[in-house]
Amino acid sequence: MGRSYLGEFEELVLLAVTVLNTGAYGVSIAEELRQRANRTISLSAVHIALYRLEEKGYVTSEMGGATLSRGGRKKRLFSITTAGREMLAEIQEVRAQFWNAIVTPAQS
Amino acid sequence: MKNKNHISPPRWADKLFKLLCPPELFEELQGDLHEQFELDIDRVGVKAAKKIYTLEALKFTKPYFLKKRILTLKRAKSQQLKANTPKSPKAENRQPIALTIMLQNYLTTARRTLSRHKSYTVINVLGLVLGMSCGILIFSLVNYHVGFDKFHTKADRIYRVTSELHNETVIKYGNVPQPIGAAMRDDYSFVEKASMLISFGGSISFPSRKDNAKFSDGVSYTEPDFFGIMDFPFVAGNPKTALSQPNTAVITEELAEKYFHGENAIGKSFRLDNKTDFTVTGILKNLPENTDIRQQIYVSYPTISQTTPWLNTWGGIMSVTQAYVLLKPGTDANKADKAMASISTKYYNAKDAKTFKFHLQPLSDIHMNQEFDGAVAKSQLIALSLIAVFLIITACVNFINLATAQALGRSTEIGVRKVMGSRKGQLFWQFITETALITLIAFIFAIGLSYLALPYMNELLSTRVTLDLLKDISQPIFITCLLLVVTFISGSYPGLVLAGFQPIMALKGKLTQNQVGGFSIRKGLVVTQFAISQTLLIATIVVTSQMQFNSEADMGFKKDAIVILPVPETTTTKQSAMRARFSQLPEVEKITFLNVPPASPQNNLDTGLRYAGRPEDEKFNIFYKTGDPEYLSTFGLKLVAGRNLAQSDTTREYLLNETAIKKLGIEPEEAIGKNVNINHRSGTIVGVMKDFHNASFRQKIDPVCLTTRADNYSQCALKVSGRNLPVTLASIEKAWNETNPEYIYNYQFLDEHLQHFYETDQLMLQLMWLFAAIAIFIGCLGLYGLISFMAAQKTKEIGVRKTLGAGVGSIVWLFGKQFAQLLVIAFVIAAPIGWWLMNKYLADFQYHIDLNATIFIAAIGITFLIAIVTVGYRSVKAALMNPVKALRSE
Repeated sequence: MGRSYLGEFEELVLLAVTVLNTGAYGVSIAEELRQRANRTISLSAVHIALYRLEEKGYVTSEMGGATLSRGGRKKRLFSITTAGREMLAEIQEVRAQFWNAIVTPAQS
Repeated sequence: MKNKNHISPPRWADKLFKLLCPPELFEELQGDLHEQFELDIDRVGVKAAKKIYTLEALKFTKPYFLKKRILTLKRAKSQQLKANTPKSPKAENRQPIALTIMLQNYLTTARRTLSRHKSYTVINVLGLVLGMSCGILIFSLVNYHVGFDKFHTKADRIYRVTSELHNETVIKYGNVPQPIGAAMRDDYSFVEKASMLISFGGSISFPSRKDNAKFSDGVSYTEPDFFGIMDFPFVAGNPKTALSQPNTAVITEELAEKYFHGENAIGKSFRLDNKTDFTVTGILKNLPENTDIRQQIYVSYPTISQTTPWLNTWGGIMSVTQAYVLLKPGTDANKADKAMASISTKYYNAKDAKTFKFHLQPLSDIHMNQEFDGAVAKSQLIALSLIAVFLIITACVNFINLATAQALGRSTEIGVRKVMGSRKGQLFWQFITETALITLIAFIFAIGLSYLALPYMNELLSTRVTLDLLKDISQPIFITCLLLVVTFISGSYPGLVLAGFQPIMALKGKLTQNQVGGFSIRKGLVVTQFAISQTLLIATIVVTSQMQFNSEADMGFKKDAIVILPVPETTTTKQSAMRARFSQLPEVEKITFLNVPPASPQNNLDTGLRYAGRPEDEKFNIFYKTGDPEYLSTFGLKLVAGRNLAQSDTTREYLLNETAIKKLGIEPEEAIGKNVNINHRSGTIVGVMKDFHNASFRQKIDPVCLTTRADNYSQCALKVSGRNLPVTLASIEKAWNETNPEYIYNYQFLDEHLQHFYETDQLMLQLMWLFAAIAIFIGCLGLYGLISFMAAQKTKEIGVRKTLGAGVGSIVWLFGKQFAQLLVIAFVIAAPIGWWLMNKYLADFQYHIDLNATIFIAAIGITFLIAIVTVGYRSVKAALMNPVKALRSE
């Protein structure tokens, strides 16, 4: 059991990081989630998820460039690690297995 | 859109965010928040954006961020403590290790310093031990008193009924007329349970047994409800029914063991006062230490109608009757108290209803309310706590003084540490560690000393304090606080001084005493110390002299060599038998039968009187004493008018004292032959007694009357010749036992009996002696430490002075003058404080000594004497040293 599992929200955040590729940071991720998942997203929740993911080793981060709208403050840019990708793939696989196992009445 | 840059998020939300956010994440998070804010303005407008921003900021109170925040704070703190290691990227991980290493180093240094300066350590530890043990003892005492009768589960609903008598003055009693218990139960719906508790002293015997054992134990008549109100658990028997039948009793385990030696006590019987038999129907668990209800025998209430039927009246309030009630849950005690006014109107006639008033007193109030003779006054506890604080402060002051003086000797160590890169904070904490070590050592000894001293304290104060450091939560908390406070008070100032050394100066050895922490501060501390001990000393001297005055001043009657004996049966035959037997003894000079001596702390009865043809009772009460015609001559009372009482049971005669005559507004001669009605008995005034003190010197002389009434003589006073007292006492005891074989003998000298007036004062005095002695002792320890240090510092100065021709005297004076100055300053502070305090104390006495200069001169004289003894040896030794030695040691 030497591995951490992901919560649903964490998984979404991790996916968002992957999608955003190099431009993933708090605001952009929150924005991405709002658009795709169509639900209200709190910035602090995103941050907590990000820091947790980093502690678990699924993302890494570095301080990135400042923009004018941030009042010249730097942003922390996140990117997914190999472990993160593996984790996502694994989740996907497990889910797929389940979906395959479901006998949908419509098909029959 | 252009001006959106000027719209900034709500400032207070920003500040809150800054406060909550872990600093290392602050920049990125604030950046994100602000960026989001800009986006939100575009999307939903300024107002909503601000709202969202505020909400987001508030969300940083989430546990995840708070935890991080606290962790950073901790880390920041340990950084200050951290060793002087160069910053490396991974320094954070190493901090705990560095901290332990440095702590080890501090402890090692501390141990070495302490063992190098043994006398310094001993003085410090000794002072702290004394101060802290007083602190611990006084704390447990206060804790004990505050916790009285708190263990009853229904304590907040238990009340005692109290009475007020409204006459010329209002007098309050914690006692009530006997029928009030039933009245409370029957008349008021808010009373859930009510019980009388009527307590007497008693002698217990066992008619069925042959060993003829007799015990003197108190009994309480009480109703079964009593055990439903209070929590006194039964070991055997049913609390509800045990006392419902007449002649049944409940006793404690302790007494069951004492009476029946381990046999099952239930069903056994005993006899009370040679009259009434009781069967034991229940056994109580031993009474807890912290309750004011101390009776160990409870007997059934119906029995009281056999033994003391006369008690059952609304008219009298005896000091033996108490009533306890349990109010129904949710009762407003104030309203209940007001409702009780109806007792006065229902059970008394119109005139008495104005006199007798009844109230409720919460159980928690009983122990400390002085109006109702509570066991201890809050003010006493406060005074004790203050003294404890003073003693601890004195000990700390000692420590500060010595440590600051000592600091000079450590300047090299400090210098080296500073050069090696120690920061101020580190040096400060080093010193605190050292202080903590000393405090801890002192504390361990203090605990030991407290355990040793506890039995003596309990005996002295007649308390039952137990010292159980883990018993309830307050004790460990107190001890931790004590340790912390003592460590910080004593450690912080010397720590700051040490930490503040200039490294170069320190290493060059150029620091002189005057530069170390300012001698004036140390002087101030010594002055404080001595001001405290001198105030205590002044108070002690004053109280001692007043106590001496109390026991030696003329009370207006003879009190020496008078033995008071009980007369258990007040029949005339018994009295004449006793008189006949005693008059055979050659040592007995005079015999008188009486109910109470001229002055007594107990058995006083005051009652109304009506003079001659006046239509109404006088506004004042008169103290009613009875005695046979020998009374005057036995006690050496003098008459100013008229004649002595005649031995007669048919005509009633009265002697009044001068005060009574004055209060009646007449002349002594005028009163002779006039009719007077006292205690509802009419009689003639035959004489006027010269005033004598009928109570303690606290009170003015009251109106007193004396009359003969043989059935009331419960005591007998023997005037004995002073020669060979032990033999006299033995023969008196023998004679008494012969005439009263069924009773237990006891005796008391009148002068000893009178000392009971001043029991609390005596106690206070003993405590004051003790505390003054401890304060002075701690002060002297400090003084001794300082002078030793000064002597060491001034070795060279003394050497030079001596080579230049200074005499021993002038060198001793070199030390002495500083301390003499300090003592005088301390006295200037202490004298007015002591004068003010003692004036307040003496104001309590109607007859008291006057404060005079002698007292104050004695106080300063004693301090000087002690100081000279302390300082003298060291300074003379320093002065006598061979100067060559001193000068060569360079």
